[in-house]
Amino acid sequence: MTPNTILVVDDSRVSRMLIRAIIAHADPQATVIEAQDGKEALAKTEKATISIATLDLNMPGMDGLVLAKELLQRFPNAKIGLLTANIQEMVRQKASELGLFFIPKPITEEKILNFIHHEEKIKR
Amino acid sequence: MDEHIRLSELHCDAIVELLNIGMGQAANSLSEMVREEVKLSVPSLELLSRQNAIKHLNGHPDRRIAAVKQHFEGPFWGDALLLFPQEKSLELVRALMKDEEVPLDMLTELEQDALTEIGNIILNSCIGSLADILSQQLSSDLPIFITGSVNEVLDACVAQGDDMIMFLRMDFALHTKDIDGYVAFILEIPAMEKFKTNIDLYLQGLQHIQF
Repeated sequence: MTPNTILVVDDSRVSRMLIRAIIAHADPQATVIEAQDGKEALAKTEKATISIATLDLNMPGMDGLVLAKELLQRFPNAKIGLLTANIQEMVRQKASELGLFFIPKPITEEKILNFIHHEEKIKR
Repeated sequence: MDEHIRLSELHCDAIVELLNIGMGQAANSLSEMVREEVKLSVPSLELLSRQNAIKHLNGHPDRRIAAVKQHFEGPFWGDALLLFPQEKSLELVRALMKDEEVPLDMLTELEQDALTEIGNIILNSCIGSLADILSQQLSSDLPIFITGSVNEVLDACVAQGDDMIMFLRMDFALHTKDIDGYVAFILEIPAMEKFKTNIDLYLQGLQHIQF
């Protein structure tokens, strides 16, 4: 099985550190690509094939939902999680419409592992 | 500003993220109240002396602001403040009462009550988020509504000239009405030192994560 390439996009360095640590433990073979905003994420994934991504919603420039649309065009089979403190129902709905997993912050090991190991794909 | 209470980039990042989670929860509650999405901006943090805080807020001279203050106590202590331009406050009350035909005079009467409640939700979410994620217990007093010029509001909140004011700027907007606000934390220097120690412990925990 090809090792996962996991994209972690968050403008908070602390959040990226935490997600990376959880992934490193859960899936040591995975390659983690970190980006602090959507533009950097798109640039860093030009030559990569992303299997999993966690995207923050509120970021400078492009928000996580816009970034998810861009990424899904390139990686239609990727499992993408919207990881956000913005837990409003309308945001959950928008995530669901795009076929994204909704992961409410604060980040915990359990939430990230549930997402990474979730077998069932969301219908798109 | 004293060197020993200078915050590193990582400290600021952690504080913004903790408060961001609190604001997210608050926006969720607010959204349920107004029955529409509350748009949140990317937050930013600044640590200012009292004098610089007045300059920072005084974009418009003699601008009147409305504030809700909530005092909190625990391993670190201080006042949490929600500040927004007073001209926007009635708009916010209207949004809250949108299904009701409320006459203007009653709306003004309700203003203080409604804004105090909004302040209570937002400030408690921020204080609660700080406490939970730092594994500490913070208790908060009842919220108090204050209105006046920036000087008057800060006079009512800041007793000593050398307090530090931690400004978390986060705009929240409703679909049709832009309501920009600040959340600010006023911490005395000893409280700021304790707060920084708590953030250090939190960051050390992250750096030595061994699941």
